[in-house]
Amino acid sequence: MKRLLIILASAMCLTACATGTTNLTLGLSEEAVKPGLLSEVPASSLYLAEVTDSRPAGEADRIGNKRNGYGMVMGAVGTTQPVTALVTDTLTKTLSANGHQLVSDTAASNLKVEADVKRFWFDYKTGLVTVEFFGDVQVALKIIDQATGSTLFEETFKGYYSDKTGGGLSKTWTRVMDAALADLSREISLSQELAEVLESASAAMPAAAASVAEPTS
Amino acid sequence: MKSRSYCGLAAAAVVFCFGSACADELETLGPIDITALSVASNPSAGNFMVIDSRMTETSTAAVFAGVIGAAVSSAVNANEDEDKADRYRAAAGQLQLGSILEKAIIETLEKRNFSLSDQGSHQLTVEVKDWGLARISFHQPQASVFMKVHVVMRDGRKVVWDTHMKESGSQAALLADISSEEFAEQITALANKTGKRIAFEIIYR
Repeated sequence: MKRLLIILASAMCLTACATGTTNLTLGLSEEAVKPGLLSEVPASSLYLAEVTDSRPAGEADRIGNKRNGYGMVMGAVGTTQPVTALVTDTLTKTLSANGHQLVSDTAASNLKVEADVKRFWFDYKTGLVTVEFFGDVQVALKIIDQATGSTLFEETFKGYYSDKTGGGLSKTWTRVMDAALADLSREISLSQELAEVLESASAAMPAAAASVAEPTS
Repeated sequence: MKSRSYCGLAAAAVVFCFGSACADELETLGPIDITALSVASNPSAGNFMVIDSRMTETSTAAVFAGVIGAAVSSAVNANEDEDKADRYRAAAGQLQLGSILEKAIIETLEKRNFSLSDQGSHQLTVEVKDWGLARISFHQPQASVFMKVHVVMRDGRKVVWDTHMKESGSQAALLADISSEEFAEQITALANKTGKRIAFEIIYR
């Protein structure tokens, strides 16, 4: 009986239980940001009040679960910065690489950006000999005409990445989530609909666009 | 004899590491000159699949029954997923995702006046690998469409871009609530979007 208990205890230990929270330091690297379609439209200044967080229950206090060999959640994967800050940084860098800018002064722009984090999740699928890691970041973006209050643009952008490897810990998890953020940035950069909205808004407000294109020192 | 084995292992390690480094460098298309591009898709249909039971696979069987247990558990999960894929198989068989991708790439490039030619300086080939429906996470049973595409661009015999794009749809629902028509519509939309994305990656390289 004692031997059986020892064997079972050993088996438990071999299931790679990891408790506690592992906080990943994520961020969109400068090399990952490239100009896209948005760079072809006149420079705009966009007011971003704050990025909101409406991730589903069970995903709001973490970005992933650490599970033991039996599939039970033993710990959490988190981030050193709030996900809203990571998304703000991604949006800022993406728009900046395309010649636009996000401002925090509501009077500085006729266009308001509303960003809402719908999903920011890291997961993995264990196979017989491999593990596939997934990163999924979904952000709903809205562009609002501040003068009329009408919504000019609304779309949920999705940054996604998956990688099948022999295994991996926090370094691999960070790489996967950073790649998902880079994919989100690229999706936004290459959005034809967003480019069209910024172009028509800029055509309707030539004076504001010109002041962004030629900033005063 | 022993030292020869070590040399062989070291050489293999160098080749492996060098190959990995080169593969990483080719993942992003650099600012190269492309005078004209030919676009082709691999006619293979890729691997259609549903990933649901496999997403929730754990090592419980391995703990209690070792490698054989793990293999059996893996096979059971794969079998369950095969059964779940059955209702979509007819719709999947009708789709030619490679052609959809190719058409979306060509249309997007043409709209941007990108030079296309069968005898182009560069040759782009796209090949659909795994695709289908995948559960969005371990704890959430909803699934969304996904596809993996191998994209290769060659300058003559030299590979200048070699990447595996992984795309996933933004709509998610329970498998029971996704009809084969909805699946076909969503995967077609994803293939179109992926084709556009590949074209834009080439334009804004």
